[in-house]
Amino acid sequence: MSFVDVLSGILQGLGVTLTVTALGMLYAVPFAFAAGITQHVSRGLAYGAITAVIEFWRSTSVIILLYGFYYTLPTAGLRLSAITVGSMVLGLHIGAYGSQAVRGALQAVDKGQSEAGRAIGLRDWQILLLIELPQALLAMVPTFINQFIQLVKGTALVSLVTLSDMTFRAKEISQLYYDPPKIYFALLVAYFILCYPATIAGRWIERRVGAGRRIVHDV
Amino acid sequence: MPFSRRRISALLAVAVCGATLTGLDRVAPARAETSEWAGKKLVVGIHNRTPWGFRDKQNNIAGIHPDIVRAVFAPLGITEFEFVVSDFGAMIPGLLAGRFDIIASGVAITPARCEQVLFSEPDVAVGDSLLVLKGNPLKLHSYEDIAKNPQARLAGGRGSENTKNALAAGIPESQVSMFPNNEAAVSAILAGRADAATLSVPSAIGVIEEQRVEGVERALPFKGLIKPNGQPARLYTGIVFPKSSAKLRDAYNAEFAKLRAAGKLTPIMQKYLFTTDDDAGTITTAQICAGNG
Repeated sequence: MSFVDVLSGILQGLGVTLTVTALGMLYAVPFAFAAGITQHVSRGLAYGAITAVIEFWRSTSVIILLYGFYYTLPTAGLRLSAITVGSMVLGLHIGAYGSQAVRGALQAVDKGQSEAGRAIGLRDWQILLLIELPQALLAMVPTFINQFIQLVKGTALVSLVTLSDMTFRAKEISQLYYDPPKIYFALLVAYFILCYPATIAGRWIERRVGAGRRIVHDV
Repeated sequence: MPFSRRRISALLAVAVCGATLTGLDRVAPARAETSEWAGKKLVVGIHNRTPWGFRDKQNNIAGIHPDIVRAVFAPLGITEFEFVVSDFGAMIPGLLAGRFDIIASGVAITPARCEQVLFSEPDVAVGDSLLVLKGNPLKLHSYEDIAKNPQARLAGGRGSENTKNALAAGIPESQVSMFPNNEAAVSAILAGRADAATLSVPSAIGVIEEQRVEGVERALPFKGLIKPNGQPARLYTGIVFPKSSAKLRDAYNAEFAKLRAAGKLTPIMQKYLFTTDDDAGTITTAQICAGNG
């Protein structure tokens, strides 16, 4: 089997990898923003609750959660599809990390900014939405790109819940042809093809953000 | 009404906690057992190991157990199968969780597994085989040889019964490395990380004859685990059903007995390089489950 054949065999799993990544982002981004903002603005019980949720997703092993959600929950009467389990567990895991980028970026915004907002009579939610978030967004973009790449590579774990992603296809081909060096090198190339554009996009955005920052400071 | 910080945070906390619980498809209804299976689709778990149950080079599902299942269920009117490929370790958990209706992938009947699931009557019985580097440099011809040579390292399959046989034959655990699948165990030999790998005989034949892996050979002759009664240990495989599917299992057994009596099992076995010696014969699942296999 030639290298090109192996690569095209692996790319048959591209659809699943992309689907899990895309759905994973749908869990990760809203979760990251909601959790990060909540942590930033809350005190007391609400703060404790949201921190517990974040820490649960951040400090547990993805592979065990995948297993638990897919194989254990049905015995408790809760039956999620493989694609739901894969994207939800990976998405919320990455989202929990993302929430710290959101919180960190919000906290890094100069306190004078929100004080200025209050001075001109803005409400708390207006300060958050109109002053803090727009500035924080720029700062969190690079981290988000990193986490997107992490998510793409994390999808390699979904074969545990019967999804035929790229890694799974590589294992299948390996089973038939017993040529792991070539097959796993092809898999490496496949992930690189997928992730490198995101890296380039990340650099481009970072440059843009950097340019934007300078203008802000000039003003 | 002003939105206080506290108010925003409380709302968001509720939203986030709720979000982690969304995505529920449906609550599984209890699987109804009907007396008639005609036209039903069976979801079949396989773990992609030749020659038991795997996706072949043309992307079709092949293997001795998928072929047996197709032949046995056809007279019952079941002709539609959805094969789900997953890891070996996920087979029985998947069956218990209702992810598959049956497993048709070379699962050996063992007393421990009998407590969790139902097995069909055994179809084939296979012994262990040892793959070694070409020329068998350490001259390994039995599990004893490995146990006697502290330098010899054995590669085994995680959770496989072959590996358990090797340990039962006296090989210390420190000499055994566990690998997730046969490819990894064979690669370990080629990479010099192991000196031998224990596989079932048909799997070992497959590596040499079908996959044509160069640089390894079967250690012949080979003496595996000898049971207290003096017989070589063999693994009996069968189709796996959940405990709730006793009726389907019984129907399967009846049709399987007819298939075997009609001589239709042999061609399926031969297609996957099994010999007539590998037919499980008259031993019953009840005997094996009771530990008398």
